[in-house]
Amino acid sequence: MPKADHSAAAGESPTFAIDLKLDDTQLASCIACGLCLPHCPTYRVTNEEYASPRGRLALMSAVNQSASASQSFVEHMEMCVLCLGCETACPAGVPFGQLMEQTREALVDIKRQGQRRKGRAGRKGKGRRRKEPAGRKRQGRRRGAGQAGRWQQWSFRLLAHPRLLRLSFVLLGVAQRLGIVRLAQRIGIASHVKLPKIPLWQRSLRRAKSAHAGDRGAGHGQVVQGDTREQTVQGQEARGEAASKESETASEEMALTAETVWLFTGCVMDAMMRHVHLAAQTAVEAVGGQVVLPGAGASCCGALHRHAGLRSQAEKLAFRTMSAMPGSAPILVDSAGCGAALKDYGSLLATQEAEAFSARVQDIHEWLATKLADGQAGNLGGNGQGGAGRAGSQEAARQGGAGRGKTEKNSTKVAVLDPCHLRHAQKTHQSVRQVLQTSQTLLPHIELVELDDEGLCCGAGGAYSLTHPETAAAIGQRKQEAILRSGAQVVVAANPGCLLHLQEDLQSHKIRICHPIELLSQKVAGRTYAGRT
Amino acid sequence: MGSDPKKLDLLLSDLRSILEADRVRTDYLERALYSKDASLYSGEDPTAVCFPETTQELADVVRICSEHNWPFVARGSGTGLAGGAAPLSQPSVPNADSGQKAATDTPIADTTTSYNSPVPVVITTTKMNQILSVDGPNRIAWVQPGVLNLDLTRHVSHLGLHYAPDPSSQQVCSIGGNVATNSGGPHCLAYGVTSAHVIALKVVLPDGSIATLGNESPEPTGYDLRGAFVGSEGTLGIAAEIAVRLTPNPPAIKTLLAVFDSVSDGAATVSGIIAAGLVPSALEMMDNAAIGIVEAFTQAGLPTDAAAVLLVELDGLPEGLAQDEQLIRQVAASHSVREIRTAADAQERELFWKARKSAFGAVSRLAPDYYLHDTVVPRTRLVEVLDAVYEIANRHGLKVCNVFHAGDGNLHPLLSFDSRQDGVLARVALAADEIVRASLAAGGVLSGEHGIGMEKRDYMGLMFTAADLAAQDKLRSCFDQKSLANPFKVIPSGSGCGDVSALSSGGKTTSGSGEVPALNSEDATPLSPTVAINKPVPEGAWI
Amino acid sequence: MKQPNQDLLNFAAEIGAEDEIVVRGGKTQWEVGGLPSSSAREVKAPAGVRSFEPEDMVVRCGAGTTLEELAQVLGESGQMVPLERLSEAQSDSKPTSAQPTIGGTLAVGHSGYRRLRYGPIRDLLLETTFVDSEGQLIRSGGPTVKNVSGYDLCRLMVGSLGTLGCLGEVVLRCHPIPKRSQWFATNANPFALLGLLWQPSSILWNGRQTWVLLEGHPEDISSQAEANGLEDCAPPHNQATQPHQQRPTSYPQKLTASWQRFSLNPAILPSLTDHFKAESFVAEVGVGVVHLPSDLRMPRELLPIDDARSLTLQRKIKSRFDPRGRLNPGRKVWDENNLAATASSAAAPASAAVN
Repeated sequence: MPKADHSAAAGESPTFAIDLKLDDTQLASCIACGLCLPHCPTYRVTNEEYASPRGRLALMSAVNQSASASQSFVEHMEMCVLCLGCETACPAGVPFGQLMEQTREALVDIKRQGQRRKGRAGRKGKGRRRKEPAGRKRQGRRRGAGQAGRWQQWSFRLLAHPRLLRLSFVLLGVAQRLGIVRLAQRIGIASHVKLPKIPLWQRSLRRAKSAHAGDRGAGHGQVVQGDTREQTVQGQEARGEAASKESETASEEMALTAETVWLFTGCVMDAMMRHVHLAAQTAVEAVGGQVVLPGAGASCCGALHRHAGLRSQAEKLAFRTMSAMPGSAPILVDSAGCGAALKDYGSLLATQEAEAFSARVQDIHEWLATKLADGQAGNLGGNGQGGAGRAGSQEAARQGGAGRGKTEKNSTKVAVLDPCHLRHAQKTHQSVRQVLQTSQTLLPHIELVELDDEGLCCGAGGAYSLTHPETAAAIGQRKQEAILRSGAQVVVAANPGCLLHLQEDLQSHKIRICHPIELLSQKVAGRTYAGRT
Repeated sequence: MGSDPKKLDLLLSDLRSILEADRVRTDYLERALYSKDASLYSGEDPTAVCFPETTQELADVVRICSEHNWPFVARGSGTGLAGGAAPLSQPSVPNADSGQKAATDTPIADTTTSYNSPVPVVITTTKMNQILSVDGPNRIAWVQPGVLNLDLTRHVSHLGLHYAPDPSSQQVCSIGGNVATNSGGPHCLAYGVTSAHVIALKVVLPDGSIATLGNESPEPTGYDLRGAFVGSEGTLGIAAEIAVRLTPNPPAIKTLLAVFDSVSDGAATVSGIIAAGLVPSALEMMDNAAIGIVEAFTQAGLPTDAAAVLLVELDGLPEGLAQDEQLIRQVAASHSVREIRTAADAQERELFWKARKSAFGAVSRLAPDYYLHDTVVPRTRLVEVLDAVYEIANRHGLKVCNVFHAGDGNLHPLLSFDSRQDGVLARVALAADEIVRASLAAGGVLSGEHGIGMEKRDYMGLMFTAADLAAQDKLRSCFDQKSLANPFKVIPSGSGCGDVSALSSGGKTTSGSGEVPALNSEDATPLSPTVAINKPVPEGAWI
Repeated sequence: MKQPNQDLLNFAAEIGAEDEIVVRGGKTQWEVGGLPSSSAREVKAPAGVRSFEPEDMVVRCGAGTTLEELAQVLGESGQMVPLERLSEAQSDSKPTSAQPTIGGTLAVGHSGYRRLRYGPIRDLLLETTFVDSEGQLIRSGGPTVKNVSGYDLCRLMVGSLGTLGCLGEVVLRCHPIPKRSQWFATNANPFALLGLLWQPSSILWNGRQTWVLLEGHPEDISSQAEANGLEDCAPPHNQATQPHQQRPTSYPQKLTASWQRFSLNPAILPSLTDHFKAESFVAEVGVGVVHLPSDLRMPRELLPIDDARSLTLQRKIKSRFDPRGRLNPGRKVWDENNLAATASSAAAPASAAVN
């Protein structure tokens, strides 16, 4: 295995001590076969071993053994998008995501120690401040990424404060419109960041005015159906079955046929793309469901924190989110990244409650596909054949996948872009196709087309497109080429990150990108929402 | 590592005058990743890792290495299984733990031989990944060496064409690496190995000059240097541009899965199919152990109680396919087949193939390490050699499963183990050694598609005489006078360090006039100064 | 390790290490590459099929074995080695009794006219034992279809005209004899046909007419012929051991060894009619081999350009493998004049250019 041979070349970066505390057996399960390489977005654009899952595992293994690392190690660990495409491809079942998250946690610890030390050293004058590695002048971008820690942590904190978050987005939106952002980028500030135009005004979720009024963690939810009915579900404290029964009773009172579901609203999604939530609400109602909105506690799932190695913050947010959506009602998520995080609370917190909570979480398409397969097509139509979902999601979707045989000359080609957190983490990406397929009567002019890149990440990766803008753009370029090859006029992606990341580039090709649920709900309601196109 | 820091600085600064700093990497952790491929064989950490993007950059990097007398190793996707791309500065890897062991393996006379060569620079072709041109009607594509095998097929699929050699790693292995090891794959049974699909090559010779070997015409002038270059494992130079033949997609495909209650029935069916005048496009076999592992991973519906399954693929025109299928069913029935399934559709076919191609990865769910062997025996000796493989593995207390190209007689015994257990590596090495000998004894060859690399270098003397090897070394020295390209690979001995004349004359004196000495396997060591050909690879060579 | 048999040892001893020697086969292509020096001593390689296991689909035989003998032995088990040539095997000036040998055919390196389907002759040679310039027996390759055990010296030997070593014994890959072989004639565009037909064995074109050889299942042949408007031009052979030896009966020219053979990029074949009258040439479509009568010249610009750096390698190889130039002196494997830099107006005939 890699030996810590320091003898070799000039330009070696200095090393520092670190204990990754990784499980040796998990690391050893990598057999270095390399089958993960083509499924790794950063390897695909760099073609460098240390930007591949196999390389990263070898690096982790080396550092785990030697308990020392160099700055390059930090860069290579931070460069991972955590799309988990490698886990899907891995025949040996290496738990890459877990190992990477643990590694990042160790790196955050080191960084904190370093910052404390640096602070002290700075006051004392010189001393232990890390010397800038030689021979790396051309790598400002990477260095920048490595030092983003403090800024990143601070901005992540913002995510849990919806009003502050919304305010900062509005300010940014104003700055955009005044040309300040362009000016800033021109003089080199965040010059690689591609920022979509931020809406200054968003329609509220219908009658959801008290949604954020609840105490932190208390989870005062609100049932909303249509534009007419409104009923607050009371007493939904996270107190196990009693509470959940209560909630069910409340729902039954409300509408005998309706199924009450929570709609997780989240942070960026709610601040920038609330029209998707509106669309989701419409779709749920169309099949006879009722949407309950959680309180402010559910304003951030903590996924970004966890990916960045900020475990304790992620845990705190998980607790908050859980208590904001008590009971036993299904929790629907229309953002793949958040969905994956919520589904993973069980392993994050390792409590029974967390596991029970995670078991309730479903991607909205997953839930809709089940409804449609059960013949509850409601206003969503359905193809009259009982739906494709029955035969098991994988099989049915593969058959229905590209919508062959339904091609019409004037149909709109819609490419389904699989968010990594739907495809590789939740593995429920086929349900998007099932929903769109089953709703053929509703969407007769749509022809689903598949991208030929085997679900390779688009480079959005949560905050990745901000921390690694160049790499993210290169990865996005590959995705864009795949989209162009498919001939699609519309791309649907069930994750806000992917939407925001690709929007600008696709617009320049006159390709519309939206959330799949938007396609559906527009038809249901016979109207369009104030979403950007 | 006898590298003088001053010389090293000069080398690096010259390399950086060609490639920007980002593409000449020297960080110790980064270099370490390029010390090995997908096999258990680990080389040394390279001096530097270079990433050229064009033929000219590649030539410049090689020229600079040559000017500095610095060895270099070409590397593609790093999926090799014989240590072919692992950098070596001496015949075996120096390792603190096994240093003593290595020393005792060294014949006394050779302790004076100092391998004072520096650790090679690794030249990675992964950034040379452009498909340069595709001529659909004439079915030729020029590609850079870093193009991934399956990417090429995807790129030309809209023309109804594909690139036929399909190693199990085809989604990740590069065409350049395929050329280096003359890769095979299941469909080589009917379509031939890589060499049959390489039309011409533009290569960078070890002195940095660029030569074109062969051209698009069928019978180019002169000796077939293209043919000699394919399979030379990076020791004759580095392929910079490769003209490959594209193969039309078959009009129809039939994939059959035959289930047997004994391995010998399966093997007899293989022979029976061939003897009946049929050459299926693929003829693959899995034994019981492999079926169990694969089924757990893929859920392809394989019967886990079967002794063997045979995957037979036929392609061509529909009428003939139907007849051929009947014929195969008859042959299999006459060898007590339990059941034959025909893939109902493309999905099922894909599932069958997924089962076959994921076997090597899935086996790691049994134990963290595996050793994947690769030998070829005449088809008629399959059962006998398989029995020997089981016996050998049992005797050494190792788990073995077999997933292999039965149609070609290409065996891939897969030994799985946990290298952290005491002494297990020694047992694996012994078992591997015995499997090679059993295959050769049955009239087989050392490697079918993985290459010689580090793994089998010291077994070459079991297959070839000193004179045979001297002839091969003559060819090498024509291309690489200074022995800079991938030293200490393929041919055993000091042939890699300018020892050519000694080797050649050695060959001459031992063979005399027309008399060829029969080197028996007990003393087949004339060419190796440091590693006894007969002995298992010293443990230092294993991670 | 396989022990060389007595025949091989005798062959090596006969060649020795001293004087100039020239290996002879059936002398059916004796002029290819130029006549050998008359002072050289003639030797003959061992003949006879050594071993053949139909289930292994490989055959081991002496290089002096005639193609006819080989075909007969293999044919009994329904197999073949596709080595036949398009032109008449013997030249006009030679006695018709001369039989081409395997060694000679490999040394000349011209593929059979079914190359389109079966691949070039070099892919048929799996293992060889040859005698080098020191009189030593050298073995390369192995008796299996898949083999990467060291450098592939077999490839170097094919087409080398015996200038690197003298072939003693070879192991060849066999193919099953197809159930049916049928020649067809058509006026269709041969280049379009190439894309339409599944694995045709040969497509010949003389600028006006096209001949197609299809092999395989009778039903598939008929359906392909029907779909593409091909007409039988000779009765199908069901039982013959060597159905491929039959040539199209309507074939306009009788190709003899005096015809020149050129190797062109197959992509430029359509432009042949710009340079030659229809029916004055025969081209192997999809392959690139073009046959011209001896009185026609091939324009220089149609010939592939040789690479100068590769030529210096060729020379180095020759000088290392045969430093005293005693093996088949006089034979030229490459044409010094064919380099782009030294291109002259004189068109060299294929017999010199290619061999």
